[in-house]
Amino acid sequence: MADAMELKRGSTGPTLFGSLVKFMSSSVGSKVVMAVTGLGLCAFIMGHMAGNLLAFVGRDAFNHYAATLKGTPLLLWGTRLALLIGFPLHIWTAVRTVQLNRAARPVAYAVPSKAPARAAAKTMMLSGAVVLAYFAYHLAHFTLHLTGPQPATLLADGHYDAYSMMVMGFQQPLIAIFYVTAMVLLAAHISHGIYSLFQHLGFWGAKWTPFLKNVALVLGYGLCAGFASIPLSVLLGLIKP
Amino acid sequence: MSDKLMKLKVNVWRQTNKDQSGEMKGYVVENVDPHMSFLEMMDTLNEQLQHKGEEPVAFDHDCREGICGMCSMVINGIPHGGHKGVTACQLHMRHFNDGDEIFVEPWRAKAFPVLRDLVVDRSALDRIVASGGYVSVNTGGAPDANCLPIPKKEADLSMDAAACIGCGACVAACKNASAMLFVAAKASHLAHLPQGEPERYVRAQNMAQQMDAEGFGTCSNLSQCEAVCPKEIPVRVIAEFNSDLIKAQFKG
Repeated sequence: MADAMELKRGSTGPTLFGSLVKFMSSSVGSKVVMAVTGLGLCAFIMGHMAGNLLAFVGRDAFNHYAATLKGTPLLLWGTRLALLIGFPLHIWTAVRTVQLNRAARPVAYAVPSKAPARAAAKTMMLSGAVVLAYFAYHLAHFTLHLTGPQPATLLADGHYDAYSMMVMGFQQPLIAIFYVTAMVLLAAHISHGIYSLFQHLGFWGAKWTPFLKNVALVLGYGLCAGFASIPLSVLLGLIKP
Repeated sequence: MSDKLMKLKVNVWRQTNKDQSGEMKGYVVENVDPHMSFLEMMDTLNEQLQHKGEEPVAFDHDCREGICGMCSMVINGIPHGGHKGVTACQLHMRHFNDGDEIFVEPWRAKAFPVLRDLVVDRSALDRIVASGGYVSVNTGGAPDANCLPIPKKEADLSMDAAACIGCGACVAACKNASAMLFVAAKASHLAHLPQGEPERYVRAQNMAQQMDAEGFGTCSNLSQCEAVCPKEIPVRVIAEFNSDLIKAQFKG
């Protein structure tokens, strides 16, 4: 025991960076990483949804928004950089803690646990994995233009016709179903994540914590409703090509 | 509820020692009085086993009045049987019906190796307390009672956490076999008092380090620990502990 602790102390120096890295790799510290990156990803998702909802305003508004994003490198690459750091950290920490947790109980119970817990909270890894798979597909479709129906021509101003690409994509029921499924699971993920991150960051209040639990539910399923409304409206013909 | 004696099918984890693998074994237990506690039912089973010349089931128990934290059984998938604020010794057989099949397992965690049958080694929890769950008191005259003013609210928050009996049900219930509720309770009951304040942040760091070294899992905020805790310790203490650990990073 003492040896193991000595080893840990020796492996990182007494520098600020060293002690931070040591904390980040501890069980509580890794959850702080999870919480901070989760908060950042959630902020991104909220911004993303607000942009997407411009689809209801019309083709021009949506394409103008897409062109503005592309035309503001600071915003575009700032966001991409944050995602490029935050996403891998969030996933890597998740994989590491799941490994730790599995190792912490080598012999399973004969009777599956009846200790009460929300299903969304128990299945964070599953919901996260599906959202990740969707994220990869989503990038291939909308960012890299590798898959899915793509508009044949560019717009007059040389920009990509993002609006047509979106409508053409969601007219395919399979793409729309995958999208909606991923959003429902994302909602479940966020509905536990938002509450959980405040707990991990050490924020607790007799009145605040129950309120935050409700905020997490409303935000999670609100985001889901906002995102899912778009493919559903395309399928119902409310958003026209 | 009737006073009729019950006949139960009890499946118990049997394991000879730490190094051998065990298995669930079924026994029929007769003449179970509904007024018996769960441990008295286990005593009845053991008497029947001894009559037949078989080894009795080893299980931890001491006070049998819900305050010592020795009894440690996962009953039908839930530590201490799942009645609010109750240890296994205070769980009564009137909650079961004649003919019921019951499953009894030991706490399951890498940090709690099974020593025999339902007995697990919980000294990992003691080592965590030894690593920081104390206050350093210098010698000298004992202070007068109540000479340190402590606000009622703080005293209550401290007492909530101090109720922990260290049974380990939180670890047993947790999906991740995390000991955070125990560790945070042991840190919180000191952190709310002036005597515990000076070592608050060092204590949190040392206890967290020992907790990781023992091989417990991480906290996912499922609150399963809070649900099964026989002393109903709230997960608030975990948030406090997290907060102390984060603050400790900025104090170094």
